[in-house]
Amino acid sequence: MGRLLLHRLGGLVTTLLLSSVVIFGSLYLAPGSPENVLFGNRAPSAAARAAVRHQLHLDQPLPVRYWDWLTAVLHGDLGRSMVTGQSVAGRVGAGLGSTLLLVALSISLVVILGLGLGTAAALRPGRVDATANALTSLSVTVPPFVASTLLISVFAVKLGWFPASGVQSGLLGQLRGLVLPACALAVVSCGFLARVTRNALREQLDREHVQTAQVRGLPRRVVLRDHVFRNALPPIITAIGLLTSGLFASTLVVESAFAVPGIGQLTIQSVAQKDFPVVQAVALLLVAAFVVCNAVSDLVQALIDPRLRIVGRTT
Amino acid sequence: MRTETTTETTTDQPTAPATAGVSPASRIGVFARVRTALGPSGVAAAAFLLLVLVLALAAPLLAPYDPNAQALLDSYAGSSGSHLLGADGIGRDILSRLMFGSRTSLLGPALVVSISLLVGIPLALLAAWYGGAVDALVARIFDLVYALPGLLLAVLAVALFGPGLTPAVAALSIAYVPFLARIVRVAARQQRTSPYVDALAVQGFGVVRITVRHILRNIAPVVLGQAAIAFGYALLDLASLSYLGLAVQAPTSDWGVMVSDSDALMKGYWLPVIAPGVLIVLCVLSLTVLGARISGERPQPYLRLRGSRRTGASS
Amino acid sequence: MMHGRTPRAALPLAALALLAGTAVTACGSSGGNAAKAAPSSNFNTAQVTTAPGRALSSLTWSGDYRAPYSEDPLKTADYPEETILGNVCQGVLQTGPDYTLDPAVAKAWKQPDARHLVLDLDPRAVFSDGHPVTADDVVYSLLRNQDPTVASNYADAYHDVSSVRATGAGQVTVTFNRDDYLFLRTLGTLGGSVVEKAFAVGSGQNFGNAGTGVVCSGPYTVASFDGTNAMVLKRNPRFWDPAKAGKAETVTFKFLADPSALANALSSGSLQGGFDLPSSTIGQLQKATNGKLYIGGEGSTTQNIDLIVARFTGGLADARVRQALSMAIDRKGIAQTLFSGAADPLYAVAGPGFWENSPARSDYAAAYSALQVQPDLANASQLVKAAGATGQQISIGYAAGVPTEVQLAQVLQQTGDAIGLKVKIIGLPDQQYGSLFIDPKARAAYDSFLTINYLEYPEAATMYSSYATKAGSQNFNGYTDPGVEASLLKAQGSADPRQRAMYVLQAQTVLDRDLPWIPIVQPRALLFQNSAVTGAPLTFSYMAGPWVAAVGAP
Repeated sequence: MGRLLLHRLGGLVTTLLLSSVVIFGSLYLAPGSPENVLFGNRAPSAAARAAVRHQLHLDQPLPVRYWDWLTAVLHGDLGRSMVTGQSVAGRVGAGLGSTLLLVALSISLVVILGLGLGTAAALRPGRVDATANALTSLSVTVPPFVASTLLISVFAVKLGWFPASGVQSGLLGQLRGLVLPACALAVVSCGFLARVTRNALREQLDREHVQTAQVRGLPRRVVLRDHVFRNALPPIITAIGLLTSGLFASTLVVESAFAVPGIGQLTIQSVAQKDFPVVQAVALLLVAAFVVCNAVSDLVQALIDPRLRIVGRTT
Repeated sequence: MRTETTTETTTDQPTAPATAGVSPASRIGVFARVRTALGPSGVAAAAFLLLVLVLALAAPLLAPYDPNAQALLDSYAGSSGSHLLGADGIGRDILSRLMFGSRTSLLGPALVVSISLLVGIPLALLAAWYGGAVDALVARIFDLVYALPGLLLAVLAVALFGPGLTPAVAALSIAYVPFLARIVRVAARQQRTSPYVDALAVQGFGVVRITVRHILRNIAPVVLGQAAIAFGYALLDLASLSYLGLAVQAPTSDWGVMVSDSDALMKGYWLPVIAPGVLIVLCVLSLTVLGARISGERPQPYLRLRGSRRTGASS
Repeated sequence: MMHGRTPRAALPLAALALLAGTAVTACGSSGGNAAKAAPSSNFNTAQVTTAPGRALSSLTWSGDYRAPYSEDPLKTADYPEETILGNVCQGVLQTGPDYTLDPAVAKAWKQPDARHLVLDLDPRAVFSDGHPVTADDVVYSLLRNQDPTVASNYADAYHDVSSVRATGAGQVTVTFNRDDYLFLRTLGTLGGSVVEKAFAVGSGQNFGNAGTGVVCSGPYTVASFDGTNAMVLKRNPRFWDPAKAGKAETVTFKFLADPSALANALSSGSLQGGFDLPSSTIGQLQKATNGKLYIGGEGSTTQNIDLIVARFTGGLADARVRQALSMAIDRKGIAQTLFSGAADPLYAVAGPGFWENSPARSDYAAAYSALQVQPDLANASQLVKAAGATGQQISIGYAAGVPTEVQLAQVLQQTGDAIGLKVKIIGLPDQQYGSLFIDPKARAAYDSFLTINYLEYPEAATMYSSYATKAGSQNFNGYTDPGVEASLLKAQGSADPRQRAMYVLQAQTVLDRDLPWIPIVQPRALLFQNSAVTGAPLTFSYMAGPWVAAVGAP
């Protein structure tokens, strides 16, 4: 367990380091100078431009800038936004709440609906399974941006139940504003989780020990709980982990569609403004979220796996 | 993830279902065989895709209007004899734009899949054949690429080269390599350990000849199936990027660009936005169904980039 | 494996049914809507403001499409900065809702001759930290505009200023190196704002950053600014002029780029008002019951949307090609369709918004009506042919993030193609689009680009000087014409508005022929105000004055 944790941590650090080089390098090579944003629509003198470039360290070579950035980050300083002069941590922090809430809301929907649908399909072959299968086949092909426009046209434009975009202040206002985006995010993942759940449960139901337990006259509820669900958990947990990490990437699209002031929107905006330090931070955050989600699902599996094997053997 | 290791159906079949078309059988025979191989859903999916392909290729002949021809007076005109699906905000015929839009919408993913296959197959075969350190290295590279979500990579590529189809395709091609190559690697490894490969090696056939003439040929259905699914998801990702304004640029018509017409939605006009969205969903649905049928699986559509991150070597 | 058969076969059919279903509903909802009633103006141009408000605890307002880049009033001249910062940093003078110049830090001013401007400071004026505003502070503040390290966005207005000096205890004199009656107006914008010298010098490069801030003498101070989503102002307790003090205790500005989000925020009441609204919000906001959408008439702002010729080489080198393009543009169609009627055709860059309330209105109006023409594709094609430019490629850059610009660029492309040109449009991300205005190298790649331009106050002479004189800050293409240059310099030196108009119109005639900028449309004022508040100006003056002070409870 400890070794696995260490191994995963090492992987995380390596991945982050390598991605930071890729991201830093690509932004450096990008055309257009970030200081231009600061001059609005009137041309600065050469001296003024040089002064600003110097202040932002834009006049230094790439390796120096990368090294400066890296050492600062290791000291807990993510730098300052080139556009607003604020600390990057502050700008990212402002959007992080919305994004985390959005992802949390969305993954809750996914888990509730996906598990429910998948379980129903597994336990009730025939019409229920067929319907669930049709639903999931369709839902896994509805991309978040199409789901967004569908939801906006129905629930915001036609019915007016939810705002079409934008998030109001206060927890209630935030939740109200995040319902549609969370649904748009959840559509694809729901279908996927339902399928994984169904297949995993089916696989267990067909197992010998389950059949035996049923023959031995154990109550169906107990059989399902102790023999089917427990053993079916690993692939489901893996799937939830992967889906959560996928949701973080999809916020790039959904936050733009619904004007949610989160990390996804900040990424797109900062890329357009060439705000290097912010892009660097949010991109790495997305990568980290991705890696961490995967690692966590692996760790959870490692935690439950041995016990599962024992349970499997005794029956 | 467990769901992916169920791809053994075609191990020793000399002729794969998908390559049946070239056999000298009579035409009726070919159709019958394709129909059996694909099943009714597969046939329906293939027919739909064929229809879209024909519309795309013959758009200049079939489209009622030039996709860019405007009539400001027809702004948001409803469905009528002159505009079957109505007109958009600057009075362009939506049907014509959908037909021409299918060209960019299909070309992009075709490029992504081709490039990923060209890069991924040799890498995967190399890893499968030599195993050991080579395999581990390739697995590491795939792991790193996996950690960078395709959308993020594309957003960065756009920052680097400016918005357009080319940078988006380039970035997604990189992101899709592991997705396609992993399946190839797993399937090829199964082949590698099967007795007929050893027999061929003993007979003195070269590595290249064995991998290309025999292994690749035997795993072709699996690869083709996965490629079809990848095509669907590349279509989604590219449409998402166009939707964000990062890939296909105005005035070129493209389904993703059409979905992004928030102006229409705000003014209460659904059709210009929903129609391309539904087309995207139908195409992806058909591709996943077809892909699954070709590779001989139940539809397992969501293998996607966030499919299994773990590769055999690291477990 | 087991139960897959039926549903899988049914799926594509079900999906097709879905497509058909949406198509039908969608058709139903959008059928027969081709002719839309254009919104008509709902207030008179003579009405410059809503009724002034009374004390109010808190106000929330739209700060436009993004957060200010800096609190330093000189750093960036754009909507968010100019809407907000004038309430924090007072100008030497201030611009009223009817664009008149009123006293602010200076209680009186006079121009004894065309080359001198004498400002008498109000002895009561104090900064928000309690220090009095001295002549030294004013001199320092104005001269910052000429300091290259500050890179003031208003530097061009100071082009003809040779000195700014304290000429007495409470007196500052500005000296010009040529006759100049136009400079005065700058003092009523952020370009004439006064900051505390000691604080500014002490803060160095951090002056104006979100963490450091500014010290000014306006009715409000910045209470908090998160750099992205919200800037909160609070009433300046040390504000020195009770007559101009703010009514609202705190004012929160929020920044929503997305038109739909903005419309939602306004109609739900989470924002109580906003200026410069995108025309796509009209439908929703007209239905809002919690406030009123004010739609101005023709010329209710100084905003002008133009195609700027980036270089006089390449496709647009020949004036006849520019004339042909201008002749072919369907300005009425664009105004009706792309702006939902909340815009009017524009036939001269300084259109009605610049002279609607001018003493020289009749002169301007007479000249303007002569410029109004119907689109004429046949003659335009002839002109292109005559110039030997048929098939010539022309590129147009535009801001890809602004929906109306995207549509406008596509319309212009079709227009150009229709008269035999080959137009290529290039959508640019924010930052690259912005660099067209400041970086000649970035511009060099395009023949032209779109702009949504404005001047903070209605003065045609200044607008034209900005792009048609050698010293103009917006002279991106190096346009020069001795006649235009001479006329505009004479206009600058004319104290009498009618005489000035005469010179401006001389220049305008030439500019309409040479077309270094091709005017397209002028947006109308579009602003929303919640019924729980009142006092917002109805004119474009919010871009220059401390307008928030008047907003309060009804």
